[in-house]
This record gives sequence, structure tokens and C-alpha cells, in this order.
Amino acid sequence: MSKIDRMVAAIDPAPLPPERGPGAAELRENILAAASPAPARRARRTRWAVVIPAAGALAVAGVIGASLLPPGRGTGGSDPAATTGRPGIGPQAAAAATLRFEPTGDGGYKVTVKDLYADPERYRAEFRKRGFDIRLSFTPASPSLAGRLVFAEDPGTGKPIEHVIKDCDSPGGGCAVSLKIPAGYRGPGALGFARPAKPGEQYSSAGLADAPGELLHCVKWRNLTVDDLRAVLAKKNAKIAEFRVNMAKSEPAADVPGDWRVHDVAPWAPGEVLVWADERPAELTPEQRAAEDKALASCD
Amino acid sequence: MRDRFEAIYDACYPAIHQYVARRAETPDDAADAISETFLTAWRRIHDVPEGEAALHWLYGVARRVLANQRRGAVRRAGLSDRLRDELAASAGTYELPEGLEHVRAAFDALPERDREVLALACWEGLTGEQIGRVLGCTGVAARIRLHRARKRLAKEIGVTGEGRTASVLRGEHL
Repeated sequence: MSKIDRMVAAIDPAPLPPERGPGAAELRENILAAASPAPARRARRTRWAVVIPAAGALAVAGVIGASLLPPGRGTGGSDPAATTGRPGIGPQAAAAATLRFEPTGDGGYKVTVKDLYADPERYRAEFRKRGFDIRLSFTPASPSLAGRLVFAEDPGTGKPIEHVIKDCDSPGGGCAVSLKIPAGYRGPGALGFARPAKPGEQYSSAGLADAPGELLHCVKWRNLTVDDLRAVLAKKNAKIAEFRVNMAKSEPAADVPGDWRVHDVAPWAPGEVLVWADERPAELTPEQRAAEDKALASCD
Repeated sequence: MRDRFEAIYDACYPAIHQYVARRAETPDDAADAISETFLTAWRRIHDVPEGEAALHWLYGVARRVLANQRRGAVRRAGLSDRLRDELAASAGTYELPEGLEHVRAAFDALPERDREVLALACWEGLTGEQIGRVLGCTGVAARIRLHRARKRLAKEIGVTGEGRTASVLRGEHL
């Protein structure tokens, strides 16, 4: 080990392995309870192996047609993904390229993302065909976060990729995403965006429950009874997906008595929230009060 | 599948906890990042590689999760509340060894990509090949990045003689 390495090792801010308390075990159980694994990739790979040649051929012929709208919303049900419930399975969905490349005249490219719901491997393959090593991904997020860049990686030399993302501001809305790849850029690069979730799709990232665009925007929800919150949500065709009880442990619960008080809410999936509830009302901290006032300040 | 996740969780938890604790800005962020990293592993259990590569895959996920946190106010639906309390309770126990303030300052002043390769090499103790796996680049590219990062840090803190010796990492030559 060189002197420099020894110096870096000496400033390690966590030199000892953590003491493992019950929190780690609880987290493991919560994770197993909260989500289920995605289907094996092997199945998807096989499928792409069949459809990618067709996609390539049609893209050359200039076929454009994939909608940026989430399936089943305002597309008149014509999107094959709306009936299969999974994007990119039907032959029509697979027929269009997911990215459109336009030279910008200065040696760079403008890339328009035509399908936010495609398998990231498809983007990668389309970039690769153009000689770029770029990974692009979109993760489902609640409305107030949709459209945000969540991570980016660049080679660290030269200009980075620029991006423009807009029109993500409603749960049923699409997003217009375009990237500007500077001349000479080859990668490796990676960009990850939060996109609107499809109906029934659980959010990977959730904003504040009362942020603009979220279900409880302009609702004074803290300490409502569970029944009152249900009524507020019902007016918006929304519901409570699950509860968490026992505030210290945050234990999952399918239901709680209707007169329990709402302590916290998090967006869960389109039209669904996760609710922390307790028998007793929550004692709000000054920070929570300030956050509540701030959230309500712009409301009528 | 469940058994496999449990085995990976139990084997990798301490290392991921430590990785995140070294980099997260607050105990809350650390709890969220650990939670998000393993949630991703469970959701993508089919993608998690076998053997020791699983840990490097998880480091890569944790790295993205932390970058994600720094870019936006993302909050996880409380899977890790107890862990959050434990981390908050143990926060503030670390003290920088005396006389190393200038090293820490110089390290902090480096670009993120330099800090990350140095930290993976010197804190997590990874080889160039393994760093490549975490960062999604080749082992050669990782070693080059490490070499440059060392040179920049050496220059910052005025250490000389970092030529050939600096390029040796666990028996690997650049």
C-alpha cells in the first residue's frame, strides 16, 4: 500500500463494521413484505432476441408511433400495453424504436426518447448501434418527482450529456424527454430519470404526500381520522393501499379502526397512498407544523 | 428466491451498511440508502450475480442510490424506521484522527469520481477489477482512474514520490 493509500485509509469515516442491531433484521423482513421480485431477466432477453431485429428494420423505415402516454390513459385503449399490462410485449409496441436520433449539425446528436417504458436494454442497444456506451433508465415515481433527473454519470472528461424533460406534471401525463449528446461524446455515461408510474405500478421514489401534483396537495391531512382521510381520497378516486402501525416499529397492517389518527402519508402507487396510523393523535414537531403551513400556503 | 435474498442480505449487510455510513450525509439518509439498496436487490434478485460479485453489484446500487439522494428529495416509505433510530443514536461517534485534517480536506476537494475510486480502493479494499465492477467500467479503466486520483490527491497534499509505487494496488500493476 502506498503512502497515499495509507493516508486515505486513515481518514476512513467508518473504520469499524457496524454493530448489528434489530434494525437490520427488521429491514430485511420489511423489504420481503413490501415488494416482490421482478420476473427473471432471462425471459425478457429471449423475448428481445426475437423482437429487436424487427424493431431495427422498422426504425430504419421511419416508423414512429410509440406514445409517451402511460398505457390506458387517453390513448383510447389502442396501446397494446394497456391490455397486456406490460409494455413492449405485443408486436406493435416492439415495432418502433425507443429513441430517435437527429444530428445537430455540430457533430452531436439530439436524442428524443419515444418510449419511457421500454426495457433499459433496448435503449442501450439502440445507443450501441450508434456507437454510444450510454445507459438510460426510467424509474416509476410519484407525480411531484416525475421528470427529475435522479442520477447521471459521465466519463468525466469533455462535455456531459444535456437533457430536457418536461410535461410530466400529472399522474396520467407523459413526459417529453430529449438528450443532447455533444460532439465526440462516446461514453460510458448513464442517466436515470423518474417517470410517471403506470396504473397499479408501485413507486420506486415517492415525494411528499402534499406536494403539488400529489393526492393530498392542499389537504390538511395530519391527524385526520382514517375514515376522514378515506373520504378525502375517495373524492379523488384514490384509496389507502396499506397501513403502518406501531410508530416505533412501522409494522405493516392491512386495516386499522376508522377512528385512528393519521400520522404520516406517503404516495404508494397512482391513486394509492401508504398511511401511518395510531390510536392517538400525533404530536407535531415545530418542523412538521412549518412544513404543513408551507404546503398549505399556496392553496385557496 | 427468498432464501437467496436472505443469504445475500445477511452476508452483505455489514459491508453495505459501512459503505453507506462512510458516504451518506445524515443518519436518515444512510438508513434510507441501505433500505433502498436492499429493496432494489430483492426486486432484482434475478440480476444479482453469484459469489463475491454480489457485494460489488450491491456497492454499485448503493452508489446510485446515494447519488440519487444528493440530487433530489426522495423519501422512502418507512421500511427502515428502527434502523434510522439506531443510526441516529450512534451518529457523531466518529472523530477524524488528529493531524489528518489536511488529508480529509484535500480528499473532499477532489472530484466525486476521484473520491469514489480512492474510497473503494482504500476503505472497501477493492482491487482494480472489483472497482470496475462497481463502477460499470473495465478493470483497466478503473486502475487508470485510480492512478490519476492518487496523483491528484498527492499533488493536493504535497506528497511526492507517488510514481511507480502508487500504481501498485494489491499486487496489481497499471
